[in-house]
Amino acid sequence: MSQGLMKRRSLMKQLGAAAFLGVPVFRSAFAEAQASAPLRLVVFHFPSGVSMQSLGADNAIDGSTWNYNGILAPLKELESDVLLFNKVTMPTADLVTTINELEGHGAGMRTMLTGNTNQSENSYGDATSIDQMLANAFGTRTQFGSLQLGVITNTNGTRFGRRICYNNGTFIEPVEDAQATFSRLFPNAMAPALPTGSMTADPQATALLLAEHAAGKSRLDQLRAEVTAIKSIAGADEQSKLDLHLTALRELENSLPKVDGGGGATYQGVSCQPPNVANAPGAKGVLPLEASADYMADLGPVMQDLLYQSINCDLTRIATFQWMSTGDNAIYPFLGIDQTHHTLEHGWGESAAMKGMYDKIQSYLLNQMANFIKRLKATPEGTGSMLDNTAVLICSEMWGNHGHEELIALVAGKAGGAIRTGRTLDGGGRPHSDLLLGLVNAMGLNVTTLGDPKFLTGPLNLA
Amino acid sequence: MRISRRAWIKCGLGSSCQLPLMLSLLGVGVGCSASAGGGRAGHSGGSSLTPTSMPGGPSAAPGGLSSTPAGAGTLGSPSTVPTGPVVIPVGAVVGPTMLRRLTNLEYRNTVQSLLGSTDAPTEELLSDSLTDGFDNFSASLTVPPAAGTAYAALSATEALKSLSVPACAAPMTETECAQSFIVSFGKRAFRRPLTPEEVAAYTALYADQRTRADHAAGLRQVVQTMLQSPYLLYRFELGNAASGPQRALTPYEVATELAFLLTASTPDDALIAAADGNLLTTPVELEQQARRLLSLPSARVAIQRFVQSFADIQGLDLLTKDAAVYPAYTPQLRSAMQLETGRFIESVLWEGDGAYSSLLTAPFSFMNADLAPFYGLPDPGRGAELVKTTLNPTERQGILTQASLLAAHSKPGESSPVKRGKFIRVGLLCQTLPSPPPNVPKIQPPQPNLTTRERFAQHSSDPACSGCHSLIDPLGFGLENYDGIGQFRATESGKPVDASGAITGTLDIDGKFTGGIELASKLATSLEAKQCLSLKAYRWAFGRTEIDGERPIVNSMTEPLAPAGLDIRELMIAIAKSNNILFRTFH
Repeated sequence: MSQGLMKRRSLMKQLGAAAFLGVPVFRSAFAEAQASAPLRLVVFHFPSGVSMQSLGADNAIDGSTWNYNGILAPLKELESDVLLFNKVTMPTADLVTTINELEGHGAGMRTMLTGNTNQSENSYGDATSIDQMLANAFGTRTQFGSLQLGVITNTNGTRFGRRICYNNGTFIEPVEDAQATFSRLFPNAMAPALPTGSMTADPQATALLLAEHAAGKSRLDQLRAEVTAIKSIAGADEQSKLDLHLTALRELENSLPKVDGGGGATYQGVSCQPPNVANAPGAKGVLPLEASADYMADLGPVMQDLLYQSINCDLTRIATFQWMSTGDNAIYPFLGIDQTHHTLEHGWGESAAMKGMYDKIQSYLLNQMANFIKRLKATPEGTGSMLDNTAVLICSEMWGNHGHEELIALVAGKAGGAIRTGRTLDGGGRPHSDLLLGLVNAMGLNVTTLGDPKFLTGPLNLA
Repeated sequence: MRISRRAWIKCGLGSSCQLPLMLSLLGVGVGCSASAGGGRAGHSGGSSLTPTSMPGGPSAAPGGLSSTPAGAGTLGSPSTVPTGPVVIPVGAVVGPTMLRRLTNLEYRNTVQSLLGSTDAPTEELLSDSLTDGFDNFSASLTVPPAAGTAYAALSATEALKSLSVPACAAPMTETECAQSFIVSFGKRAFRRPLTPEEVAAYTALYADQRTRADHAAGLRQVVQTMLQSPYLLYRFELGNAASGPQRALTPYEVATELAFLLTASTPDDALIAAADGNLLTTPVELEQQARRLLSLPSARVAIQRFVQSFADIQGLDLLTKDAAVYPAYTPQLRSAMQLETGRFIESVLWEGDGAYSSLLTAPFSFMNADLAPFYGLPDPGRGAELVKTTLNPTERQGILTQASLLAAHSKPGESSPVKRGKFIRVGLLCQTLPSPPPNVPKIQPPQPNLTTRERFAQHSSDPACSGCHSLIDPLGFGLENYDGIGQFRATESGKPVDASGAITGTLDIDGKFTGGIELASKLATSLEAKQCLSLKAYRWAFGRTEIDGERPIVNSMTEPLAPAGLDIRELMIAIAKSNNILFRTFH
């Protein structure tokens, strides 16, 4: 257990554990009110494409399709739930690559989920990623509008390495601290649960809870008023930064202790359980170049567990999960990889040994993501599974040759029927913004444009 | 500039390399061809700046000035600045208004200072991410939801554990006591006086909590809120809105700039008093305060952080090496290396002449029982304590030859001429290089019969790669006497190490050299290298990359300091009294 978690625990003791007892984390009232199950979007990013042959064909650079024979083998058993994309291009990234100092890595990151082509090195214009478009429209339906999680994203390589999420030009970087994420998602899970009904049986605890809620609400009202006042005098460039701050305050308010109407301390749903993060590696700072990141093996599954339970408990319906950073500069000895990911992605064409290492780590990542998808599929919802009501986009900011000729992308899940899976969709060279637009439309957001309209021809029909 | 993939050419073994063409960035481009370098900048000697003596102490007196509440549109800051149009000095290049969230270091120091605690807060915050080695760039400093949660948790912990509630006794009512507390604590927390509206709002917050709990709990509620208030979390650089787009920062904003620049913490009482007295408007006044601040212990932490960021050696405690190759690299040795460099920087900056050139050329460092054998020096005999020790002048000199820096710029199982060369070219000379092309030729793995240099020779011989690598590798080759953990080696793979190197494409230090000591000495004489450190200090000071027209301003700060080796303390003074401390342009 991290020191931080211990601190928070001891803090609770000081405050009086009763104030935190019996607070349910519940699926939101919105979810219950909806006739059908909620739609969800999960985006996985993994860095820098895949080696060409491992796409599944001998040489995918010209005309071949990617299939389940190569690196996608872990997804083979999910084939009927997966939509593969071929020949979806990424012209926005090629354009953004022209910026000084901003080579393909950073260009891919900033445009992958935004379609944005802002070419300023230090500004992202009005870039908004698809997850944030959905969060802006639907985020208030759940306790957390969206989540940004990651694993080994903070290597001291490029400054752009952890930036796939943007809201009106302000980027939101992933969190890879399992304990902090746990405390944030499940603030009430650290106290032992009371038996059902004990809340109402303990008026003193109820009163404490009400008092804590009221005090927290007062603080947040004041903070919100302050941020709002600052917004009225701050410059245009700072507005989205302050909007993000307001989102933070709203989500803090959602997390205040609440008195359930006699429900007690049970979590909604049979399988909704706060994950066990006790054995996850503690928070790390920025990894120096060439450091070993073997803790990925322990951290990754726990972070994915947190992701799964945040969806499963309906704490959020929109999440991004970043596996490593573009230009990742760590090594992974636990996989037998003693050269940095960045070195391998540049050099896989040079020798079988390097390609072997590169494929091995990319396969490992895809296998992890497949595990998450399988879990969604194994979670019953309505007459089907949670995966049926979810779209899991897996994509990479670069193609396997370090360029952007195509977007490496697939979607798992049917998004409530809006996506027809079990096939490969030939994009015919259409820009990836079309795919993004098709996806947000499938998620129920009725917009007709996205990113730079010069690189948009219309929504890709996923149905 | 973009280099089209169409321009790649084959460079052997079926791989393709980008054809290295010319790069140019803000006039400091480096050509990847042999004829790189461009015009040589003439640099006149310039007169060396004579530091004025340190003033005795704070002289500002708050008396006499009434605190008039600000008009609408100015950040609730009673301003003593005229509200008319602001005239920005001729020749000044003024950056944009910004909201800079405090870094974790700044926030922790601030909380510690506000609560009068001797212990820094231990509650974890979301880790700051680095932009070009620095953790304080404005664009990265936001309050995303995960951070909001962390601030709330820290505020709750600190408000509960650290606050000693002032006693409240008749004839004052509890509400009066609370108001008095809000006014005084609030001014320190927000780094400016609260407006009457803010005092009223926080008094109401107190009163609301008082209906549920006792007086002390009401005050804690105030503290808990202020510790996560945007007025505390962000450094305001907005100035007076009534002035229009060209703005002077308010005296309190100026005090905040100085305090975080020089002490990585909130303004102290003397600085706030100077702001109260509107005594932070002229370069002379700014310099007085800057010199006072630099004499504080907190300045050592702040400037140390800058130098370590500049050397790109942050996060060394996470640096791992291949244990099979480097069994000597134990956590204990790693920690000692880190402490050595910290102590060394401290010594040069605060016990020596503070010059960048001294960081590069100092003939001493600090040894303990772990480090001395590693460096081949006699154990000073004081256990883990670091003791100032004269180095072997044929092996070591200055920070560039210290194990921490060399290990940080190496690979896990070997040295790296490329990484080291790139660090010198980009990190120490502020030049730019393209990223490597796809499918770079593979460097052969370590072999018993080849030296690192021999294995890397392909870069220098392959015409497609040599354009860029001739700018990188010969710099790194000069450090080949130091292995992947920074240990000195005279031989490698049974052969004598060839540590001859060459610098090209610079303004003033082109030429051949041998070994890290000569390289460090050359860098110590270079104006370009000093301009680079100044540029990075300027970026660090203002949390952004420079805008058009600022490089010449930075160079003009560097020039008078360069002959004496660029005293980093004096550079900070120059920045602290520059126009960007006083003015902004509102967008």
